[in-house]
Amino acid sequence: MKILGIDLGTTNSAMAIVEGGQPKIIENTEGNRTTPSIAALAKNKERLVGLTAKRQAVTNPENTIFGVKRLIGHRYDDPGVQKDKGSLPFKISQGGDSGVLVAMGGKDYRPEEISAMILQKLKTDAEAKLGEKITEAIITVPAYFNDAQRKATKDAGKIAGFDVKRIINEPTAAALAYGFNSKKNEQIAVYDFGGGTFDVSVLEVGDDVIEVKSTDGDSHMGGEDIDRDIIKWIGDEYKKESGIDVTKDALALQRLKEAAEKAKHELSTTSESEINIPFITSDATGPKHLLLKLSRAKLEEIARPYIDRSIEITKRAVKESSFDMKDIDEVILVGGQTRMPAIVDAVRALFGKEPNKSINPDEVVAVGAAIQAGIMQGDVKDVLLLDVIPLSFGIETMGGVATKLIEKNTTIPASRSQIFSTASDNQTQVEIHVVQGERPMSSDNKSLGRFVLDGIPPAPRGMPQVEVSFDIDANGILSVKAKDKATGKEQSIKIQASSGLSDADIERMKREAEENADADSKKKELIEAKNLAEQLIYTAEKSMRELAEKLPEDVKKGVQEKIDALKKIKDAATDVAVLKSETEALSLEMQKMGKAMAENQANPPKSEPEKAGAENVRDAEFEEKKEDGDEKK
Amino acid sequence: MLNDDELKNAANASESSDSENVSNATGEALEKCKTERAEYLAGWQRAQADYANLERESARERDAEAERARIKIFRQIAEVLDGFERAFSDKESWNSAPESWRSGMTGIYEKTRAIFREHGVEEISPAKGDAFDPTLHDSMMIENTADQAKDGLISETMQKGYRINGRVVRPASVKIFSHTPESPSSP
Repeated sequence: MKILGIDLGTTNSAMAIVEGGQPKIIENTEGNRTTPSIAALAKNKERLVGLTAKRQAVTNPENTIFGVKRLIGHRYDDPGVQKDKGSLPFKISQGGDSGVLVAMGGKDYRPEEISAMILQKLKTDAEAKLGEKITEAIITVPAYFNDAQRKATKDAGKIAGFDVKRIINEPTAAALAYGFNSKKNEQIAVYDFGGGTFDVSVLEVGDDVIEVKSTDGDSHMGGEDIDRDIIKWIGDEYKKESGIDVTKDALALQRLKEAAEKAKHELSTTSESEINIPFITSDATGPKHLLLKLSRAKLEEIARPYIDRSIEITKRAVKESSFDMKDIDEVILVGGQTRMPAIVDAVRALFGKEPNKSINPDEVVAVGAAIQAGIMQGDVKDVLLLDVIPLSFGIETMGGVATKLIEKNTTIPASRSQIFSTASDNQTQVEIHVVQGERPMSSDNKSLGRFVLDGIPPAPRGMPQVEVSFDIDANGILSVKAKDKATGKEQSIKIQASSGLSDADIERMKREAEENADADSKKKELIEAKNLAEQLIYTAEKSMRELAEKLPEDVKKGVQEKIDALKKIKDAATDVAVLKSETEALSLEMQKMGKAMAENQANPPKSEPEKAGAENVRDAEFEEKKEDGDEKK
Repeated sequence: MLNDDELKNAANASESSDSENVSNATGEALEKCKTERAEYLAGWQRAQADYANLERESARERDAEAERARIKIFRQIAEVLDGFERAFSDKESWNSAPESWRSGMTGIYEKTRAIFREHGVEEISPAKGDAFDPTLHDSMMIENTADQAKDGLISETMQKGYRINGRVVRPASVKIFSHTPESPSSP
């Protein structure tokens, strides 16, 4: 039985579950990861929730209920309710218990009944998605919610058919999502800039408890205000330019809204966004187009009053918590608006540390609720602890390159195999040199062991298929096996992978890999260029031998010259560009061979593909183990 | 697994002359083994099932991700079509453009639409008087009408919508009739 984690938001809601120990956002039936917190009774008396309710809002404003979270658990005569009353398109009135009643379709509902409709949709959608009944939920509420508001939210869950296992604070959920519940004696600030509300909370993590030390905010300030100001700016700019007020036209306004949203998103990563709406309107002089550039600086200027206000509120909340700014160990960003770089900068400057923003800020609260659910279910406790390997395992291939077979951070037990081939003609044995580490050249990595597989039947290079298999068991013991596919002959080695490397060694090797990344990649590029040159020389010489009789002298001479030139520089080459250009020159010259053959003969003989019958053969090849000669095991 | 003490107990019991003790101790050990075996088997089966499920789930996720990416691109192309349609809808300006320009522009428009058709993207373009369906349509504004029968029906498609395989790429933007009695005194 799964417990659903629900972030029941003022503007949008989201839901998540823990599956296999990992939290996962559940999409609604429309395929979206968030659902508008809107319910409506359509003109045809159909009840709509979410996106469909939002789409019919214009035609049915008095029966489309949004932002009910601002009313839930409140008394009708609360100043906040009285203040909102005038600006709401739907009717609210006083209930018998002096609570709020919301009118929809000629009937009065309690706010928790409206919230229940939203929760009911989430429940149905989650059940459809997961293919099982969901009856238990954890619902988040703002930290400032009082008992009445929490109880009303719990009731909403009950009405929707949930057994509400717990009501948790949104900032607490965010902290759980980042796994901060296990860090003892830490102070955490959660900065939540959503679509319609701004909240900030200071938390203290004690022994298994996360305590809210202070909370503050503005229930009527959010990203939507910034959007509205961007639209106003676009409208004003356009009016200055054309004299036309496009904001009067509902469809044009909708386009401006979409354009503003898009520009805002783009400006999170770029410094300038183009707003281009051709044929937006027309007047007596003909069609009119809107083409404006919105810079990030301008956007930040537009958003500045809201950002400044949020920072002031944050300072107030920290002061209230009796901590100093410097006492705050972690800062978490929540809410879609926090993607704006100016907000990240402002928060960083205030706290003097990088805020946590790696989890999608629209989803972090729902994820945290799901994690709380996972903890309650004991999902996390019973999961078998699986190890990962800290460094990659591989073998040495042609030119001393380390070819990884099992990448670092792979969960063990694990096994991988790959087919390799020989580097020279009639090579009868290959040496498997097992290495561990992240560096591209095997000599820079730790050598774990080597063995020889012999008895490979003589064949042209690239033809034999040697399957190399790596297997790491749950204890980290590595078995490496090499098998000649033609003869079935095999050799293997067993390595206590963990032996010899301390944690410090592993860290050092990782660090070295990072530090040498640039130099290493250059070195590897050179080796690869050398390998390519060698391969091309081999192919060219083979073709020359096979076609000796049929090729005109001048073509043969040309190719030979290029072969000689490439051979001369190949081994001592240090400049990749020179090596590549010489290789390219040989390749071009070789095309003349084909052309000559085509011209000479009506039916040119097919040149034999170099790796016929070995489609799966990897390009990297073994170096012949020369020192062992023909010695057989 | 059995720990050393338990093994020793079992062994001790087997040395004792009391055969009942022997069978008791080995019986217990066997029971424990059986329990553990069942536990491990269940864990192993679960791991296998988890993996099979994960594979299926990631295949589904991959498809869904590809579909999302396609829909995103279609949504952007739809904006290009909107531009053309806005140009065509201003009849006076459009007709005053030279014929060869008009046919060229129409050609580009049709070519873009052909991309949609090729990929199975269908237009959502409700006619006047069609029922409003919020799963396909997005209401932009209302048009007052004295005819009560028309209340809530679509009066005009302001911007076409699109869908693919039953999934809405973008809803059609529509204007809706709203009944407003002409005389305030009417019931």
